[in-house]
Amino acid sequence: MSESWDKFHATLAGTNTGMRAVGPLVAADHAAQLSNVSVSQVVQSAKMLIEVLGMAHERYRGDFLIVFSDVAIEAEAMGCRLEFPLNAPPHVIKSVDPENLLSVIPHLDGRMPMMIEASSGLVEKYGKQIPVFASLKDPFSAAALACGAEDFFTLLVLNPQKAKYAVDIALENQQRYLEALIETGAQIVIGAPLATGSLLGSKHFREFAFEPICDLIEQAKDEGVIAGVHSCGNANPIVEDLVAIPADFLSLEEFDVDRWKQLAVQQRLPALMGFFPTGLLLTGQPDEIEFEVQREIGVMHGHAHIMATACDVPQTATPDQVQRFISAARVH
Amino acid sequence: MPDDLNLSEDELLVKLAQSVLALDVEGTGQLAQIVLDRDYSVRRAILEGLSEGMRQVGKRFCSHEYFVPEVLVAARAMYRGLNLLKPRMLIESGGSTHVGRGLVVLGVVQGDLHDIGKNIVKLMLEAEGFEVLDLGKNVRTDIILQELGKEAYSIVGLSTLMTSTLGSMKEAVYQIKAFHPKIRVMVGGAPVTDSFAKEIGADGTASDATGAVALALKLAKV
Repeated sequence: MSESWDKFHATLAGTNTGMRAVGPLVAADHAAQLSNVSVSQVVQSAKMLIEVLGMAHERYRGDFLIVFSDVAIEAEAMGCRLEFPLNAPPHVIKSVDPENLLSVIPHLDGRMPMMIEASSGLVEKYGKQIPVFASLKDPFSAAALACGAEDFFTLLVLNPQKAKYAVDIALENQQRYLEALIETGAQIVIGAPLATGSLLGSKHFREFAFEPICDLIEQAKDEGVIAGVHSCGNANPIVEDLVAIPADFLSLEEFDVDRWKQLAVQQRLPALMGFFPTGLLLTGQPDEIEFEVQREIGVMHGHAHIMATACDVPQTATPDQVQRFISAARVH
Repeated sequence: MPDDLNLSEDELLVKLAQSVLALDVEGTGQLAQIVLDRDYSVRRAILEGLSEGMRQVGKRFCSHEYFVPEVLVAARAMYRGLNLLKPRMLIESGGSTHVGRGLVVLGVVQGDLHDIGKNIVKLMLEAEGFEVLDLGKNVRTDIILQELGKEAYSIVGLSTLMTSTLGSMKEAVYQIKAFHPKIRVMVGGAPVTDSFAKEIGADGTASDATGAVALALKLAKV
């Protein structure tokens, strides 16, 4: 095992080795920018995705790598039509009614085969040195992205049965997709861009999103891989729900650290990945980046913590800024 | 049909607000129809009924009793009533339904397609009496600049949910301030912090829609 793997295992086991895993969350758009190629090329080619994410890793030398293209992978496979702008991630231009969501075959549908191939290629290339995480959406977010977020959110109040039906379809699809990603040798991170505290609150999260996420995490853990959850936005309204998910780690964009510490007194928590504000990668002065890294490491002292950006690195962040974040985290 | 046959105008306005707050889309439409049938003040029905209901929804959103699904359904209820009342309001007021708080341009910055937050801010601003031009999502800065040249807008609101498009927000604020230095710019969205807003030259940020309305009211007075 490599040093990066050792750091990860020690953090997840709650063993204080004095070594902290560090890494930026680099998605296809920033990686494309780094390599001077268009985002649309990268998000439509396994070869390009492997190449640019690999180059980003070799530049930043984080202790992990996430295979992430864009949030529309599942929506496309479930029947949505996408547009691929030249230099931005693709987006849905025609969504699907919940009753018409397609049952997905991961090795055939949409760009899932591309993601499976990219995951396989990156695991082969870097999997011995660092954990390579394949990413997939939680079923609620996958269904909402496919059906159109606003319409889907109103269904939660006006027609919850229809919303649940869509989430069930998405869960079945994601279980098959997860299986295919695990077969590549990747570890797993489930991204929840729409099943968030700030958008849903605890009641809806519990009713529509919680169980499907737990199902996927348990499936991944049964296969013996590391499994984490990334929650976008403000996690405070659902933090008690998030810590009840049997994940190895939680990657949180925004949360109350004091509350986290209170919860840690009451129960064993998953490791925490995060929570360096990504805006600082655009506007922060070197001393601000250093200060923030030091502050976060200070407040998380004694807790299982993986030092990472709170969310994806901004597309136009300069490599020097990202490097400053990594260097500061390594020093401290 | 709501039990409203013996309601006075004031009581009906309270009922309208309650109906929006209760997320009752059909009921709100029925009450708005009664306002029309009885020839009550349409302007009062919009401001003291529908908008008041939406303001109360905003308070519940702020205190985490309501979240985005409830706000979106409340908005449907408000618009069900508004769409019925608006034609008469236009006749009464000679073409305008806003109450003169000011003109606001809203948009999600280029590269980002998440517009739920922006849509909620729009609803709340309209409920508060602002007139809003909604440019939608994935908006190029030159489109915003073009619009700003057409009317006397006082505020631009920009949002992004994604960290990857914070760079677009920075660029948009820079351009707006360069070409229209008197226009106030407010920014928002999950990854936008106070310090980021300050760094990029925005006039303020808020963590939720209620805060955005309070900020807009403050900026409109400056």
